[in-house]
Amino acid sequence: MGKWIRRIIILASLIMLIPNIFSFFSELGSDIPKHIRDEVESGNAIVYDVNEEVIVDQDTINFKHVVRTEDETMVIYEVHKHEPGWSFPTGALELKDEDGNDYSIQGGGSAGKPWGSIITMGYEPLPENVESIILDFNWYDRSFQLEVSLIGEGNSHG
Amino acid sequence: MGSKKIQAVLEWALALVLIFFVVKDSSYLNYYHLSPIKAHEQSERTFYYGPSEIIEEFDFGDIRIYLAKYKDWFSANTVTKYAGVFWQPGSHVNGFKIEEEEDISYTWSSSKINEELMLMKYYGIVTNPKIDKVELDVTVGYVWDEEVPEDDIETLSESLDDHRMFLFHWNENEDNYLALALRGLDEKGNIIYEENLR
Repeated sequence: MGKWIRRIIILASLIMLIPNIFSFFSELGSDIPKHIRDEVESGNAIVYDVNEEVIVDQDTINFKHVVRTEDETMVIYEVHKHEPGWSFPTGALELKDEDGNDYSIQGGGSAGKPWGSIITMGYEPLPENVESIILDFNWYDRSFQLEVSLIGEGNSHG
Repeated sequence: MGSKKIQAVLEWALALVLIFFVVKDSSYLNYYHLSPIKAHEQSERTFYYGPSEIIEEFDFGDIRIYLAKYKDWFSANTVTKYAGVFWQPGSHVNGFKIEEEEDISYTWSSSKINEELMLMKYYGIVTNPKIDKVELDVTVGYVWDEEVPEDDIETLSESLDDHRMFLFHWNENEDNYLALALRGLDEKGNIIYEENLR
Protein backbone atom coordinates (compact mmCIF):
# COMPACT_ATOMS: atom_id res chain seq x y z
CA MET A 1 0.00 0.00 0.00
CA GLY A 2 2.68 2.49 1.11
CA LYS A 3 4.72 1.47 -1.89
CA TRP A 4 2.00 2.63 -4.28
CA ILE A 5 1.28 5.84 -2.40
CA ARG A 6 4.87 7.00 -2.59
CA ARG A 7 5.21 5.95 -6.22
CA ILE A 8 2.06 7.82 -7.17
CA ILE A 9 3.41 10.89 -5.36
CA ILE A 10 6.71 10.61 -7.25
CA LEU A 11 4.97 10.19 -10.58
CA ALA A 12 2.46 13.00 -9.99
CA SER A 13 5.23 15.37 -8.83
CA LEU A 14 7.35 14.57 -11.87
CA ILE A 15 4.43 15.29 -14.16
CA MET A 16 3.85 18.64 -12.45
CA LEU A 17 7.53 19.46 -12.77
CA ILE A 18 7.71 18.64 -16.48
CA PRO A 19 7.81 22.33 -17.52
CA ASN A 20 10.71 22.97 -15.14
CA ILE A 21 12.65 19.92 -16.25
CA PHE A 22 12.04 20.74 -19.89
CA SER A 23 13.13 24.36 -19.51
CA PHE A 24 16.24 23.31 -17.61
CA PHE A 25 17.44 21.31 -20.59
CA SER A 26 16.35 23.79 -23.21
CA GLU A 27 18.40 26.44 -21.36
CA LEU A 28 21.48 24.64 -22.50
CA GLY A 29 20.72 25.63 -26.09
CA SER A 30 21.09 29.07 -27.58
CA ASP A 31 18.97 31.96 -26.33
CA ILE A 32 19.24 33.90 -29.55
CA PRO A 33 16.21 33.45 -31.82
CA LYS A 34 16.81 31.37 -34.93
CA HIS A 35 16.14 34.17 -37.41
CA ILE A 36 18.78 36.35 -35.77
CA ARG A 37 21.31 33.52 -35.84
CA ASP A 38 20.67 33.26 -39.58
CA GLU A 39 21.25 36.98 -39.94
CA VAL A 40 24.51 36.67 -38.05
CA GLU A 41 25.65 33.83 -40.26
CA SER A 42 24.92 35.77 -43.40
CA GLY A 43 26.84 38.73 -41.99
CA ASN A 44 23.86 41.08 -41.62
CA ALA A 45 23.95 41.21 -37.84
CA ILE A 46 26.60 41.52 -35.19
CA VAL A 47 26.10 39.93 -31.79
CA TYR A 48 27.75 41.40 -28.71
CA ASP A 49 27.68 39.32 -25.57
CA VAL A 50 26.78 41.32 -22.50
CA ASN A 51 26.38 38.84 -19.63
CA GLU A 52 25.69 41.43 -16.98
CA GLU A 53 23.35 40.95 -14.08
CA VAL A 54 21.25 43.67 -12.51
CA ILE A 55 19.00 43.26 -9.48
CA VAL A 56 15.66 45.06 -9.51
CA ASP A 57 13.91 44.59 -6.20
CA GLN A 58 13.76 40.83 -5.69
CA ASP A 59 14.23 39.93 -9.36
CA THR A 60 17.37 39.39 -11.39
CA ILE A 61 17.70 40.86 -14.87
CA ASN A 62 20.28 39.05 -16.94
CA PHE A 63 21.43 41.00 -19.95
CA LYS A 64 22.60 38.46 -22.51
CA HIS A 65 23.22 40.07 -25.88
CA VAL A 66 22.97 43.19 -27.96
CA VAL A 67 22.42 42.46 -31.64
CA ARG A 68 23.15 45.20 -34.10
CA THR A 69 21.67 45.23 -37.59
CA GLU A 70 20.96 47.89 -40.17
CA ASP A 71 17.29 47.98 -39.22
CA GLU A 72 17.37 47.69 -35.48
CA THR A 73 19.28 47.15 -32.28
CA MET A 74 18.06 44.20 -30.32
CA VAL A 75 18.57 43.84 -26.60
CA ILE A 76 18.08 40.32 -25.31
CA TYR A 77 17.64 39.81 -21.59
CA GLU A 78 16.17 37.38 -19.12
CA VAL A 79 14.01 38.40 -16.21
CA HIS A 80 14.25 35.89 -13.41
CA LYS A 81 11.24 36.45 -11.20
CA HIS A 82 11.31 35.64 -7.55
CA GLU A 83 7.54 35.27 -7.46
CA PRO A 84 4.71 35.44 -10.00
CA GLY A 85 3.11 38.80 -10.67
CA TRP A 86 3.37 41.70 -13.09
CA SER A 87 5.58 41.39 -16.11
CA PHE A 88 8.73 43.43 -16.48
CA PRO A 89 8.08 47.03 -17.61
CA THR A 90 10.05 46.79 -20.84
CA GLY A 91 9.07 50.30 -21.87
CA ALA A 92 10.99 51.72 -18.90
CA LEU A 93 14.28 50.46 -20.31
CA GLU A 94 15.65 53.10 -22.65
CA LEU A 95 18.55 52.81 -25.02
CA LYS A 96 20.91 55.76 -25.25
CA ASP A 97 24.33 56.40 -26.72
CA GLU A 98 27.27 58.21 -25.10
CA ASP A 99 26.01 61.54 -26.41
CA GLY A 100 22.63 61.06 -24.76
CA ASN A 101 20.71 60.33 -27.97
CA ASP A 102 17.61 58.25 -27.42
CA TYR A 103 16.71 55.27 -29.55
CA SER A 104 13.07 54.39 -29.18
CA ILE A 105 11.50 50.98 -29.05
CA GLN A 106 10.22 49.63 -32.36
CA GLY A 107 8.85 46.38 -31.08
CA GLY A 108 9.62 43.40 -29.03
CA GLY A 109 8.46 40.18 -27.59
CA SER A 110 8.80 38.02 -24.60
CA ALA A 111 8.74 34.29 -24.07
CA GLY A 112 7.43 33.00 -20.77
CA LYS A 113 9.54 30.57 -18.78
CA PRO A 114 8.82 28.84 -15.49
CA TRP A 115 11.33 31.20 -13.84
CA GLY A 116 10.26 34.38 -15.62
CA SER A 117 10.73 35.42 -19.22
CA ILE A 118 13.20 36.01 -22.03
CA ILE A 119 12.68 39.43 -23.53
CA THR A 120 13.82 40.59 -26.95
CA MET A 121 13.35 44.30 -27.46
CA GLY A 122 14.07 46.00 -30.76
CA TYR A 123 15.21 49.62 -30.67
CA GLU A 124 15.96 52.02 -33.52
CA PRO A 125 19.18 51.21 -35.37
CA LEU A 126 22.40 52.79 -34.15
CA PRO A 127 24.55 54.98 -36.37
CA GLU A 128 27.77 53.26 -37.36
CA ASN A 129 30.00 55.46 -35.26
CA VAL A 130 28.33 54.54 -31.96
CA GLU A 131 30.70 52.34 -29.99
CA SER A 132 28.98 52.15 -26.67
CA ILE A 133 25.40 52.25 -25.46
CA ILE A 134 23.72 52.83 -22.15
CA LEU A 135 20.71 50.82 -21.08
CA ASP A 136 18.85 53.26 -18.88
CA PHE A 137 16.06 51.97 -16.64
CA ASN A 138 13.79 54.42 -14.84
CA TRP A 139 10.71 53.21 -13.05
CA TYR A 140 9.28 55.16 -10.13
CA ASP A 141 12.20 55.36 -7.70
CA ARG A 142 13.96 52.36 -9.20
CA SER A 143 16.69 52.93 -11.73
CA PHE A 144 19.88 51.53 -13.15
CA GLN A 145 22.27 52.32 -15.96
CA LEU A 146 24.29 49.69 -17.74
CA GLU A 147 26.96 50.60 -20.22
CA VAL A 148 27.63 48.13 -23.01
CA SER A 149 30.66 48.44 -25.22
CA LEU A 150 30.07 47.66 -28.88
CA ILE A 151 33.65 47.70 -30.05
CA GLY A 152 34.98 45.06 -32.40
CA GLU A 153 33.39 42.48 -34.54
CA GLY A 154 31.21 41.03 -31.85
CA ASN A 155 30.69 37.33 -31.56
CA SER A 156 30.06 35.33 -34.65
CA HIS A 157 28.33 32.54 -32.78
CA GLY A 158 24.64 32.40 -32.27
CA MET B 1 17.64 -3.09 7.51
CA GLY B 2 16.60 -5.17 4.52
CA SER B 3 17.07 -3.91 1.00
CA LYS B 4 13.30 -3.54 0.62
CA LYS B 5 13.25 -1.17 3.59
CA ILE B 6 16.14 0.87 2.22
CA GLN B 7 14.32 1.17 -1.08
CA ALA B 8 11.17 2.30 0.71
CA VAL B 9 13.08 4.96 2.66
CA LEU B 10 14.78 6.22 -0.50
CA GLU B 11 11.52 6.38 -2.40
CA TRP B 12 9.85 8.31 0.40
CA ALA B 13 12.81 10.70 0.48
CA LEU B 14 12.52 11.24 -3.26
CA ALA B 15 8.77 11.76 -2.95
CA LEU B 16 9.30 14.43 -0.26
CA VAL B 17 12.00 16.24 -2.25
CA LEU B 18 9.72 16.31 -5.29
CA ILE B 19 6.76 17.57 -3.25
CA PHE B 20 9.01 20.32 -1.93
CA PHE B 21 9.83 21.47 -5.48
CA VAL B 22 6.22 21.23 -6.60
CA VAL B 23 5.10 23.43 -3.72
CA LYS B 24 8.03 25.84 -4.06
CA ASP B 25 7.52 26.34 -7.80
CA SER B 26 3.77 26.26 -7.79
CA SER B 27 2.58 29.48 -9.34
CA TYR B 28 -0.79 28.69 -7.84
CA LEU B 29 0.45 28.73 -4.27
CA ASN B 30 2.78 31.65 -4.95
CA TYR B 31 0.13 33.79 -6.56
CA TYR B 32 -2.98 33.30 -4.47
CA HIS B 33 -3.08 34.40 -0.88
CA LEU B 34 -5.34 33.84 2.06
CA SER B 35 -5.22 37.49 3.06
CA PRO B 36 -6.03 40.44 0.78
CA ILE B 37 -3.19 42.54 2.16
CA LYS B 38 -0.68 39.86 1.11
CA ALA B 39 -2.05 39.99 -2.43
CA HIS B 40 -1.76 43.79 -2.38
CA GLU B 41 1.83 43.63 -1.17
CA GLN B 42 2.80 41.06 -3.76
CA SER B 43 1.17 43.12 -6.46
CA GLU B 44 3.31 46.12 -5.54
CA ARG B 45 6.48 44.05 -5.08
CA THR B 46 6.26 42.43 -8.50
CA PHE B 47 5.39 45.79 -10.06
CA TYR B 48 8.58 47.30 -8.56
CA TYR B 49 6.56 49.89 -6.69
CA GLY B 50 6.23 50.72 -3.04
CA PRO B 51 5.83 49.37 -0.42
CA SER B 52 3.26 52.09 -0.12
CA GLU B 53 1.74 53.46 3.01
CA ILE B 54 -1.87 52.35 3.15
CA ILE B 55 -4.06 55.33 3.92
CA GLU B 56 -7.40 53.60 3.85
CA GLU B 57 -8.72 50.15 3.07
CA PHE B 58 -12.12 49.78 1.41
CA ASP B 59 -13.84 46.46 1.92
CA PHE B 60 -16.43 45.56 -0.71
CA GLY B 61 -16.73 41.86 -0.01
CA ASP B 62 -15.02 40.26 -2.96
CA ILE B 63 -12.75 43.23 -3.59
CA ARG B 64 -10.53 45.44 -1.51
CA ILE B 65 -9.20 48.80 -2.54
CA TYR B 66 -6.07 50.14 -0.92
CA LEU B 67 -5.85 53.88 -1.10
CA ALA B 68 -2.17 54.46 -0.60
CA LYS B 69 0.77 56.82 -0.90
CA TYR B 70 4.36 56.11 -1.77
CA LYS B 71 6.89 58.96 -1.88
CA ASP B 72 5.65 61.25 -4.70
CA TRP B 73 2.91 58.94 -5.92
CA PHE B 74 -0.62 57.94 -4.98
CA SER B 75 -2.50 54.79 -5.90
CA ALA B 76 -5.69 52.80 -5.37
CA ASN B 77 -4.63 49.22 -5.87
CA THR B 78 -7.42 46.69 -6.09
CA VAL B 79 -7.23 43.03 -5.15
CA THR B 80 -9.97 40.51 -5.82
CA LYS B 81 -11.20 37.32 -4.26
CA TYR B 82 -10.53 34.10 -6.09
CA ALA B 83 -12.26 30.74 -5.67
CA GLY B 84 -14.02 31.89 -2.51
CA VAL B 85 -11.02 31.80 -0.18
CA PHE B 86 -7.99 33.19 -2.02
CA TRP B 87 -7.00 36.73 -2.89
CA GLN B 88 -5.23 37.71 -6.07
CA PRO B 89 -3.67 40.90 -7.42
CA GLY B 90 -6.22 42.95 -9.35
CA SER B 91 -5.73 46.18 -11.19
CA HIS B 92 -4.26 49.67 -10.92
CA VAL B 93 -1.34 48.98 -8.68
CA ASN B 94 0.50 51.79 -10.46
CA GLY B 95 1.12 55.06 -8.69
CA PHE B 96 0.37 58.47 -10.17
CA LYS B 97 2.53 61.48 -9.55
CA ILE B 98 1.41 63.91 -6.87
CA GLU B 99 1.59 67.28 -8.66
CA GLU B 100 2.59 69.66 -5.88
CA GLU B 101 1.85 72.74 -7.99
CA GLU B 102 -1.70 71.53 -8.68
CA ASP B 103 -4.37 71.84 -6.00
CA ILE B 104 -5.60 68.32 -6.61
CA SER B 105 -3.89 65.40 -8.32
CA TYR B 106 -6.42 62.85 -9.48
CA THR B 107 -7.02 60.00 -11.88
CA TRP B 108 -9.76 57.54 -12.68
CA SER B 109 -9.92 53.94 -13.72
CA SER B 110 -12.58 51.44 -14.53
CA SER B 111 -12.23 47.69 -14.39
CA LYS B 112 -14.49 44.74 -14.86
CA ILE B 113 -14.35 42.65 -11.68
CA ASN B 114 -17.08 40.17 -12.67
CA GLU B 115 -20.34 40.03 -14.62
CA GLU B 116 -22.17 42.12 -12.02
CA LEU B 117 -19.47 44.56 -11.10
CA MET B 118 -17.82 47.13 -13.30
CA LEU B 119 -15.86 49.13 -10.76
CA MET B 120 -15.21 52.80 -11.41
CA LYS B 121 -12.74 54.62 -9.19
CA TYR B 122 -12.17 58.36 -9.17
CA TYR B 123 -9.36 59.05 -6.75
CA GLY B 124 -6.65 61.46 -5.87
CA ILE B 125 -4.86 63.56 -3.33
CA VAL B 126 -5.31 67.20 -2.37
CA THR B 127 -2.21 69.37 -1.95
CA ASN B 128 -3.85 72.74 -1.42
CA PRO B 129 -4.25 73.01 2.38
CA LYS B 130 -7.25 75.37 2.05
CA ILE B 131 -9.37 72.64 0.47
CA ASP B 132 -11.54 70.87 3.02
CA LYS B 133 -13.98 68.97 0.86
CA VAL B 134 -13.96 67.41 -2.59
CA GLU B 135 -17.05 67.16 -4.77
CA LEU B 136 -17.66 65.22 -7.94
CA ASP B 137 -20.56 66.13 -10.23
CA VAL B 138 -22.03 63.18 -12.09
CA THR B 139 -25.04 62.52 -14.27
CA VAL B 140 -26.81 59.59 -15.90
CA GLY B 141 -28.28 59.34 -19.38
CA TYR B 142 -26.28 62.01 -21.15
CA VAL B 143 -23.58 61.58 -23.73
CA TRP B 144 -20.13 63.05 -23.59
CA ASP B 145 -20.70 66.54 -25.03
CA GLU B 146 -24.40 66.98 -24.25
CA GLU B 147 -25.59 69.95 -22.17
CA VAL B 148 -26.80 68.68 -18.77
CA PRO B 149 -29.51 70.68 -16.94
CA GLU B 150 -28.76 71.53 -13.30
CA ASP B 151 -31.56 69.27 -12.04
CA ASP B 152 -29.98 66.19 -13.54
CA ILE B 153 -26.63 66.71 -11.88
CA GLU B 154 -25.87 64.64 -8.81
CA THR B 155 -23.05 65.73 -6.55
CA LEU B 156 -20.96 63.17 -4.69
CA SER B 157 -19.02 64.63 -1.84
CA GLU B 158 -16.19 63.65 0.45
CA SER B 159 -14.75 65.50 3.42
CA LEU B 160 -11.00 65.26 3.66
CA ASP B 161 -9.08 63.68 6.51
CA ASP B 162 -5.53 64.49 7.51
CA HIS B 163 -4.23 62.16 4.82
CA ARG B 164 -5.85 64.38 2.16
CA MET B 165 -6.79 61.50 -0.12
CA PHE B 166 -10.20 60.79 -1.58
CA LEU B 167 -11.93 58.01 -3.49
CA PHE B 168 -15.26 58.08 -5.28
CA HIS B 169 -16.41 54.73 -6.52
CA TRP B 170 -19.45 53.17 -8.10
CA ASN B 171 -20.60 50.16 -10.03
CA GLU B 172 -21.05 51.19 -13.64
CA ASN B 173 -23.51 48.35 -14.16
CA GLU B 174 -25.80 49.98 -11.57
CA ASP B 175 -24.95 53.66 -11.89
CA ASN B 176 -23.67 54.49 -15.29
CA TYR B 177 -22.41 57.89 -14.19
CA LEU B 178 -20.76 60.36 -16.47
CA ALA B 179 -18.34 62.49 -14.45
CA LEU B 180 -18.79 66.19 -15.18
CA ALA B 181 -16.68 68.22 -12.78
CA LEU B 182 -14.33 67.88 -9.84
CA ARG B 183 -14.33 70.62 -7.21
CA GLY B 184 -12.34 71.52 -4.15
CA LEU B 185 -14.08 73.63 -1.48
CA ASP B 186 -12.81 75.38 1.61
CA GLU B 187 -14.51 75.02 5.00
CA LYS B 188 -16.90 77.88 4.22
CA GLY B 189 -17.99 76.19 1.01
CA ASN B 190 -16.17 78.53 -1.36
CA ILE B 191 -14.94 76.91 -4.54
CA ILE B 192 -11.14 76.90 -4.54
CA TYR B 193 -10.62 74.53 -7.41
CA GLU B 194 -12.81 73.38 -10.27
CA GLU B 195 -11.93 71.10 -13.13
CA ASN B 196 -14.22 70.32 -16.02
CA LEU B 197 -13.92 66.61 -16.65
CA ARG B 198 -15.48 66.61 -20.08
